[in-house]
Amino acid sequence: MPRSSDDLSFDQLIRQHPLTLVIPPQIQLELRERGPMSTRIDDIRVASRFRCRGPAILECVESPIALPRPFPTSQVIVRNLSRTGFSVLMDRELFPEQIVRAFLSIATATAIVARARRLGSRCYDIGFRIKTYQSRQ
Amino acid sequence: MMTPSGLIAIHPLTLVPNYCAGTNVYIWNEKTDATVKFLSSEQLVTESTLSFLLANPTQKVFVDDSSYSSYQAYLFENLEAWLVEPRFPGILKTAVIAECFHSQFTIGLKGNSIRSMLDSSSECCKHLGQLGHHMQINGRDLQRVLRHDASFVTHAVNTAMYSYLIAESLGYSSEMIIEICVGAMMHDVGKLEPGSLDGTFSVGSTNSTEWMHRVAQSHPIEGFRRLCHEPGVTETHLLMAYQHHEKLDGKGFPVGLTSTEIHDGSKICSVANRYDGLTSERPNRHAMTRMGAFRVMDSEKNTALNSEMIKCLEAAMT
Repeated sequence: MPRSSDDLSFDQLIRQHPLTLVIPPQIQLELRERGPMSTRIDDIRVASRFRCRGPAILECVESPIALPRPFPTSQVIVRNLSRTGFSVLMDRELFPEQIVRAFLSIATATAIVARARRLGSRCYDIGFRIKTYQSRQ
Repeated sequence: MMTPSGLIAIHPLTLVPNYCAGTNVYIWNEKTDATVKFLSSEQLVTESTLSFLLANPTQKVFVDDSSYSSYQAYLFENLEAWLVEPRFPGILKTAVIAECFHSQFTIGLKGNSIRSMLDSSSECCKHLGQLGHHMQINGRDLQRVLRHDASFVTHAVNTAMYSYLIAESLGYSSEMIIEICVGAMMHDVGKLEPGSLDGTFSVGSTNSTEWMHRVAQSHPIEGFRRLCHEPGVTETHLLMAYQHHEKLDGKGFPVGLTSTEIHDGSKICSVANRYDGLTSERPNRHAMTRMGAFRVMDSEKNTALNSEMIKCLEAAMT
């Protein structure tokens, strides 16, 4: 049940953009896990990450001029997030330095693509650095 | 041998008959284990000098560090005239163009910016596109004249040259060949240390294993980032920097793309990059022979590298 008008619009957004990615089985298992992620010894991340599965909407704001790859506004699955970034599962490859607006269940953020990893033909793990972040009221 | 202090190694076949190199030229005397003056700055190179150098392909030749710019000016001013001169052997022309590439890209690196590197590589590759077809660069000559040290500039130049051979043999247009060569020269730009783009970094250096591992893993993304906001950079340049470690079977990095998802320019760059890596000296191993390198690459065809592109390079080098 929606808790506020913002929640309602978020739910509407989700309904308007059906999920088209195909999650490989081994990733589906991982998505059931919750809580803080263990860090590796060579990890250069500045903030701890937490597993938190949930839907989000990504909208393309800007692509590098030499590689114009605008993509339609899409529903994605949030995989984990931290104070400085988050990662999602998406049905297509994004490229470093692309800027997106992300509508998360608890906030809206603008973020820059930091990395992408192919997990399947219609499933990519995309990592973002957060530029701006605004909590929903 | 190490380059003697105060001197810079040059390719012997860039000493062109009836021209004056504009700087003192020294050769290495193995018997005395020392350099001796070979030509003075105003002395013309003779036909017999060229014959001597052609007969002694391993002869080490140097110019003064302080007057290296005069040597560069001598190369750049005369390049076009030399390349269309029918009397000169193909190997001399190939040596001259390779040395010009090396020199021009070194200048670009000293500009300490991505812009200056891009400008210098575009300038080099434009020459190669215009003159390369006319002079028909021969892979065997190229193998003899290219340097095979572990420096950043050498690797960039060699990868561009091998990419040129593959792209030409695949029948790409001259515009596309130039674009692919520029992409190949810039493909490892993500390996240079931020704020110090002067090329002092050596490919495969083992100064810090952990740091090297991190650079090896992150340089395609870092290269993409550095290039993507520069005016004049094309999709081919960007994707060659980003995808040259992708493998056809999806086991490459940074994304793990599979065959059809990888840009053709990146596939060419992968083959050229691998061949130069195998045939060049590295801190942890010696250079392989041409045949040894193709044996290794043959075992990687269709899993990592495109087999048609390997065949094109092998045919050009044989």
